Amino acid sequence: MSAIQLQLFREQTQSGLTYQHLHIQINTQDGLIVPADLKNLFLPEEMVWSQGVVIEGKAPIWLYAYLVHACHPAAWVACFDPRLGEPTPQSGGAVVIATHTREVALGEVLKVNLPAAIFRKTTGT
Amino acid sequence: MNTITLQKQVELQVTELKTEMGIYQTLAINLVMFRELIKTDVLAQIKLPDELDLSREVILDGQAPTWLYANLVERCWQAPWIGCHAAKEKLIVVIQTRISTISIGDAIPVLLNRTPCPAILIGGSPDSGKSVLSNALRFNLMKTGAVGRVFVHRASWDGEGNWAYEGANRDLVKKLIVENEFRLHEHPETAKLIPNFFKYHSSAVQNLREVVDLVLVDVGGKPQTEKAPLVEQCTHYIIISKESDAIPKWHELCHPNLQPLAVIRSVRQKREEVLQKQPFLEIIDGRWREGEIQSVPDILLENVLTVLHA
Repeated sequence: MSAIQLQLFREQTQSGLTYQHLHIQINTQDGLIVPADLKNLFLPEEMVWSQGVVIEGKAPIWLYAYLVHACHPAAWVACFDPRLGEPTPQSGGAVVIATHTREVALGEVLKVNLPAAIFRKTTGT
Repeated sequence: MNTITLQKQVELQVTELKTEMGIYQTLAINLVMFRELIKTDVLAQIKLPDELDLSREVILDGQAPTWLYANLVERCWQAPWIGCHAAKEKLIVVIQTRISTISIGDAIPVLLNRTPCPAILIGGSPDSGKSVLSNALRFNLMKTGAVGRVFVHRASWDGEGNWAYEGANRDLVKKLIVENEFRLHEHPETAKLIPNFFKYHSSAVQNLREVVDLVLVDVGGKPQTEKAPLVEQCTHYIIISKESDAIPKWHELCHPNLQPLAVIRSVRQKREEVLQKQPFLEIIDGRWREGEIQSVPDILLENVLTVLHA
């Protein structure tokens, strides 16, 4: 298994906008990764570039930077921030950092719910 | 909020980083309003400095929310290559390239050679308030204006970060911490993993000490001997413990190379009592609850500030 796993989920924002949720999962035993792990890292083949992407997961800033650049063709790109959501257990804000569409604006905070599937430990799945 | 105020939240400066491969153009990010999460509206207002040359490489450097960093990556997309300064590893990590001599995932060693700043180890028994104290100290030290960059390095395998103390959604914070922890002490290969883990964190503290003005090192809840390489990279220590029996073991771990700054006997009640000031500060204090950025006792803050002038 590669050190970095990317999972893609089809989701909707709380206001009903369809998007793709790109979850970063670090698979090493100690949670540490090295720059060379980027060399064999590819976005999921099922990416739909006509839609927006929310990138989420605990990872070094350089991994986010790589993914943001790789996702440039998407309609828009946002980064999840757990500090910006509603007071429900899976709600957070996705900050739009790039956009090619009028659907969303740069700096806009999209209210999103984290996909249930990413909670493997707290739900026992 | 008007444009000027928004722009005042973030300062972008063109500097340079010296590396083993040459000197590289660097875009340094400085958050002016460190006291709170900056407003996301700032993304629409940010302008790259006029002197940033996008026909050259761009290295991004500094502490900032992921989404601000990500936006700057987007704004620099036309540069021949982009790297991020990974301060803990003392490396530049290449994240995009249009030239044949540099590849994505390349790591370029950075040459700093600055005088290392002080590093304060923060130890104590589990659930005594180490992480809350670390974050509160960072916040209050920077608020004094007496110190530039304070970095909290968490040398433990739990899933916490500064974000965990800045969000109102406590349920989500708790879930994310659990999801992102790597419980090495329960792993079948724990005997191999734990020493390597602390060697990595020892190196990280050593590197951070050349980048910032003060490093606070949260070392987790047990004074194991495996932490010796990490201890060696620190200069001072603070013990915060709700268990009196645990305090001598922490002194033992840090003695004689680290200078004791304070012992905080952590209690659940709201209480603040000074037990001694010499040879190190010893207090009883009960303010270390999760979920909000706390104040720290003035006497402790003054005590910590002394290390900057030693």
